[in-house]
Amino acid sequence: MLAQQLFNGLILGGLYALLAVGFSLIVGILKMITFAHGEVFMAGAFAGLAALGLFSPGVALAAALPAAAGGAAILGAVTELVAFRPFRRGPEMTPALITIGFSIILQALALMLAGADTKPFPFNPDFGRWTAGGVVFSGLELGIAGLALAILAGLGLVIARTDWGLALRATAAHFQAAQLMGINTDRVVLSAFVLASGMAGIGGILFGAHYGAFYPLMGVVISMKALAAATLGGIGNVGGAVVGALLLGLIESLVVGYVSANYRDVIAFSILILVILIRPAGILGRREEEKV
Amino acid sequence: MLRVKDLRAWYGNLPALRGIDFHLEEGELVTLIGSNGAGKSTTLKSLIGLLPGRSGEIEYLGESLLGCTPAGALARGMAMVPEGRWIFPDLTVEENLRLGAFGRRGHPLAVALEREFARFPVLGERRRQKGGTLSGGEQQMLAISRALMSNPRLLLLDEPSLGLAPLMVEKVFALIRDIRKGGIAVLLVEQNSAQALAVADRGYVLSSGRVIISGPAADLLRDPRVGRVYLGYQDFGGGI
Repeated sequence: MLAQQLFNGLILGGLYALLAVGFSLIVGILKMITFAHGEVFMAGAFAGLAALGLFSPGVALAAALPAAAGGAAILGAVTELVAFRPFRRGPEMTPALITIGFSIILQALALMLAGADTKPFPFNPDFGRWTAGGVVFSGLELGIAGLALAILAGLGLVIARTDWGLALRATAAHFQAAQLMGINTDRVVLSAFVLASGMAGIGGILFGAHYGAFYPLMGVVISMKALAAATLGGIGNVGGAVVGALLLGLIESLVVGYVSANYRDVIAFSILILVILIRPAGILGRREEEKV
Repeated sequence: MLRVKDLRAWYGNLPALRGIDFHLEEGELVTLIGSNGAGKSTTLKSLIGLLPGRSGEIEYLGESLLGCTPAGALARGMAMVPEGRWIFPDLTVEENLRLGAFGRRGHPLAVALEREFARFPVLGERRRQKGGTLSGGEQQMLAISRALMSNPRLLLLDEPSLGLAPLMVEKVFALIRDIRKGGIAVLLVEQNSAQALAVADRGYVLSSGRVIISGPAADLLRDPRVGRVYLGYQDFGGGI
């Protein structure tokens, strides 16, 4: 029972994390927030769903992932170019408001194009099922958890080891200092949006596969939870976002298993609020200090 | 090497530079001095392209820099050490240095790193430590070293002695002499005019966004008008 709930929590947390790291990347670099991330996730899910319909089941999964990532990445790039880039030096409320508008428009577009009804996964993604130590693993669940964790680990490596990651960390630390290093900060921000959105899109198609459901409002609640998870971990800190997301997923699934499915959000968010009250900067976040 | 004519810059609608003229030749050490708010830092930021609102002429190695971003200036061999150092406190010393070479790819990174570690052994010892753990003086060394990583031909130095202990200030000025001896031209902005003029070939005194006095550093050192600048007269816009 406990092991099963932990495994379920890992999957849920992995899905949250794919969104939460995006919030942390964007907030970390721009100190501004996007409210369209949930709809980028939804659009990625539908792009993946469209690709699934085009191919036979064998190839479809291989096509759905790049379609979901690509579709979402394009939307993310548009978000940066329209909602953020023109307002770099302006008040941070302006992009926030524009992205709220974006999210409403994208929901309406999805409603028009796909309809309000929930779409199922087009075929039965059955990859076997195993039992080990009382835990039932389905091939699909293993695939989802494995892919999510692999992407997150890859992201961590890219940020820590590559030149691009170094440029990203420098830009997040000090925009003008990064420019003095010859870094094209606009390009770094754009690539951060593309990456954050691509991961959200993959999260979207995995979410659709996991729950067998695609609908225009599918990104609303999960993006709020991912934002909460990113805040819990210490907003702007990508590792913290992963920790926060996994923690939220585990708490939720433990509440479902041992308390009640009805109260999972109430209890999960109560714990979140408590943690933030105790550690306002989040679990891995730190207070800003300036050395003069 | 660098010829600046009628350089103007604005912060929003407020004019910060009202037409600056100066020049600097290959290998020369020139200082811009003046009191707070005279436009010294603004001049450096405008030169390297950190302030987009600028007009006039900036001719550097035969090219105009007016349309250039800092990346463009860096690629042409102009690097800057900003006031306040702007090191990356959460990145390691080595990562800070690697970033300094970002703008000039094609130069071998390892060679530049070894050269800087030889110049600043303390940075070599602490290469894996985070920049924010260094003392103020070491951070200033890191900031200068980071700018040198790009193999500049002209180094812009903004208030390198600010906030440092007297012994450290001496070290910084000795370092500036060394850099110049190595063939790198230096444009030095300082509040500490006496020491700046002591190392410089020539100097310009700025006030309210204009050059009001210029000449060989030795002459400026004896000029009583210049004395008033560093004896602490505040510049409220009237000039001296």
